[in-house]
Amino acid sequence: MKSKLSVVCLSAVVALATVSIARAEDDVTSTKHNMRNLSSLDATAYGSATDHGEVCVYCHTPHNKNTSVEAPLWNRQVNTSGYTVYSSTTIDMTIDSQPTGVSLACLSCHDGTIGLDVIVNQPGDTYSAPSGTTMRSGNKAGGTPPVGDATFRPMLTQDLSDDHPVSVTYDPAIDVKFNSVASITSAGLRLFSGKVQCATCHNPHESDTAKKPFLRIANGNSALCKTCHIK
Amino acid sequence: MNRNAALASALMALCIAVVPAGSRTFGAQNVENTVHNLSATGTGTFTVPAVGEICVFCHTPHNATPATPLWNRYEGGQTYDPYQSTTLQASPGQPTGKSRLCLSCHDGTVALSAIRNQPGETYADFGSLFLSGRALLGTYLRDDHPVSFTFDASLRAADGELADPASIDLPLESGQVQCTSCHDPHEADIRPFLRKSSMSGELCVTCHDRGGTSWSWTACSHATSSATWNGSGTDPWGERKAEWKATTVATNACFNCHTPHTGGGSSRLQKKVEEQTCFLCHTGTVASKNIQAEFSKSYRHPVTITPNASHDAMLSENPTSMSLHAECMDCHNPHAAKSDPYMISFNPSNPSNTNHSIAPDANGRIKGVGGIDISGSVISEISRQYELCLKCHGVPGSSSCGTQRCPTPRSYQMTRLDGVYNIREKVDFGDALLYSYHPLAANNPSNNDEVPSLKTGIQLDKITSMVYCTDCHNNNAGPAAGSTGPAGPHGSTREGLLALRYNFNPNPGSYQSSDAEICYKCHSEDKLVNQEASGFLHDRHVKNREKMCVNCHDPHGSYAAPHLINFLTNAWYGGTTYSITGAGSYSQPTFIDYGKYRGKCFLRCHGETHNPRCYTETDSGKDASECASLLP
Repeated sequence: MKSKLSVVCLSAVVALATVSIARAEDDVTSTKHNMRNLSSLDATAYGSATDHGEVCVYCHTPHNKNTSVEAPLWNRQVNTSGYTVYSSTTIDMTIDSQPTGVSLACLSCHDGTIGLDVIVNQPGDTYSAPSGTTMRSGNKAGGTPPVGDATFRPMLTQDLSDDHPVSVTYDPAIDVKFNSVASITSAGLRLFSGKVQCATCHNPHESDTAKKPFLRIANGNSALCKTCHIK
Repeated sequence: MNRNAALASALMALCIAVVPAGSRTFGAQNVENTVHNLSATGTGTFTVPAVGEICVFCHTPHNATPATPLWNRYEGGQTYDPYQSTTLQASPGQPTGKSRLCLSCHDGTVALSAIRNQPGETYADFGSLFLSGRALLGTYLRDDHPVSFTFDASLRAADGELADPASIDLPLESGQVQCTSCHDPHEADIRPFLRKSSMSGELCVTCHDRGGTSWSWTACSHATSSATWNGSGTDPWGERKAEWKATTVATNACFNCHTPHTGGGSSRLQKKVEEQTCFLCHTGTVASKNIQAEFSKSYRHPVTITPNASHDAMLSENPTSMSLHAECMDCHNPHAAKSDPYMISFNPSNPSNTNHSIAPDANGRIKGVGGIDISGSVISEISRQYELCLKCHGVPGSSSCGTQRCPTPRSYQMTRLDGVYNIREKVDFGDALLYSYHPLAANNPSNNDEVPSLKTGIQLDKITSMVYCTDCHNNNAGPAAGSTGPAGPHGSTREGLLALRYNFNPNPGSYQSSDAEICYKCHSEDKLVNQEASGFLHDRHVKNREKMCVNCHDPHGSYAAPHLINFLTNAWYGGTTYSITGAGSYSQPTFIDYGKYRGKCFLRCHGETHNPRCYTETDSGKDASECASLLP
């Protein structure tokens, strides 16, 4: 009885989740990841980065990519050390001692050490000196009772101890409070070589406003969180 | 798409809820279905409809403070009043760790909606909804179970009533008990957010290991009784929410008396102050007998003096140094007490009934309490009933109750020949100077061999018999009086907290059998005052002269003479002074024993001079002229 119910449930979940995967909206131009117009979007947070005239070029290049990072045709330098990673007495899965994989690509902007407009290959055949503006801290909001944090959330710094762990080998077998790999991937999340990375939850091209900020699954009712966490 | 994702997620959550995996050791984790879902979908009293996410009220994926567990709330920065108790060996200071996180809602000083990182990308004013009601602890944590203290082997050793912290299956945080040791904020099934069921004390006994050499919590009636509330009066478990309230004493277990949060302002997390906790059930509404009513009788142990600043938890009290007081817990250990037969030596209305304990055995009713043994030493666990009574009435160096007599509604004073008023000394069979005593602590065959007045056909007619304090001192309507009311010396309408009547008036002016009703429980009135069974003329003194037993006999024991003879040298009663004085060459009233049935009295009483009067098997009350030939 129990196993039959499980099968029925699992099938239904897979069927629904499969439908949702196919419907990501990847219009990066309309998002904050279009760094050409960041200053007009939120100058407090992003400052004034040099406009390179193209959108993808802030991250990607068709030639001579940065080979030191496992990210597609990556056009930025990355830090591979200097991070403080998350730790907790109650975590059972293994966290890499430094961020790895595609998370390094995200952190190349979001750790706040490398200018948003500092890229490996610039468009065209002439060089324009980038402003080197890095992501800034800012205050999202305030009020009474106190709400909003003085630290602008996309600015993570190299101290990742206060951020959800990344570069974690996802292994529900050692912590029963997590859902199976099959269930989370079929729901629309991605693992990278079996690891949770920034891009497990985030799709940097996602333009569906219901999935702000760049989420793979809209987090209404905390659906994204509960895809992995049995809480 | 969002709809489908949400559907998938919801369905998955549902499946998780209904398909328990074999390996899971925790309850159902589904915070969405709990009152901790403060979002628009929450069904509890407190929700913030403008927020569509659940986890966000406590957690954030980025820039959390503190970093673990990715916390998204502000701390109130409050100074708390932590739990205190005179029996607490742990040292809970200001809340730390995860407990502070819980308090960021539950102290009521930070709005539920006050979160650091809001969902989405724009700021919204979510209002300022504060927690109230039963989950609000406030900053006064003295009526809440202590948190943020180290639970280690040394605490266990100091406390003596805790389980081994190395083997408990509840989580400590850095070796400390925190809110999260008992509570799992995501738990949906074991309410309220518990890691184990609170039924039958399961959660509590994980850490609390109550027991002694002669008792255990698991055998206690409070852990085993199937009694339920009969619906009249106050619901003893009324403070429990219907969803997690049990219906029997056994299933409520710890929660019969204690509440882990926001108790009645009393110590040790009791639901009410002192005896009021016991009266939740012992009023005939759960327990079959109404003990509370006993304490409104004229003569009673003064448990209703409230608050009783003198009282402390029973095992930590030193009877030799404590201020005199009486609370329920001074005689009963609520973790040990269990149903046992009456502690009476026989049932006066059914003498052949053997459903009672044998004196002086302390049975389950009073197991696990401290006292003073016959030698005057403090003991942590009594094994004999009188050792409990001696805790107050036999303190070395003190008179009974610290004064000559316990204060009673009737004011009188009685001074006796031997000048000893400590009940322990009165029954201390090991003291060679003690002439005679009622067989409370030991039987004295040679003494009892001279008690021809004992009734036959009762269970105390043997010279090897011993008696309980509660054979005499007991409820006037209880089993010691041959009736069916509550057992035990809680209260009595009879003076002296006696089960049956005893006339303390030395000279009442008339005689009725009831004047010595308590004596006639074992001693035959017929033999004493009608048949002149002994040489001494009880009939002439008691019946004809209406002089009560109290004039000559000291019922507990006597350092003055055999046969419990210990004359009242001065009695002030009802505004009149009575005295028995010496005569002839004796400055004090004196009885000289000449063996069985034989003796001389030198005294003046009721206007008569005995200088001496002699008593033998055959000749009673001979005066001095004949005495010399009878008792040389």
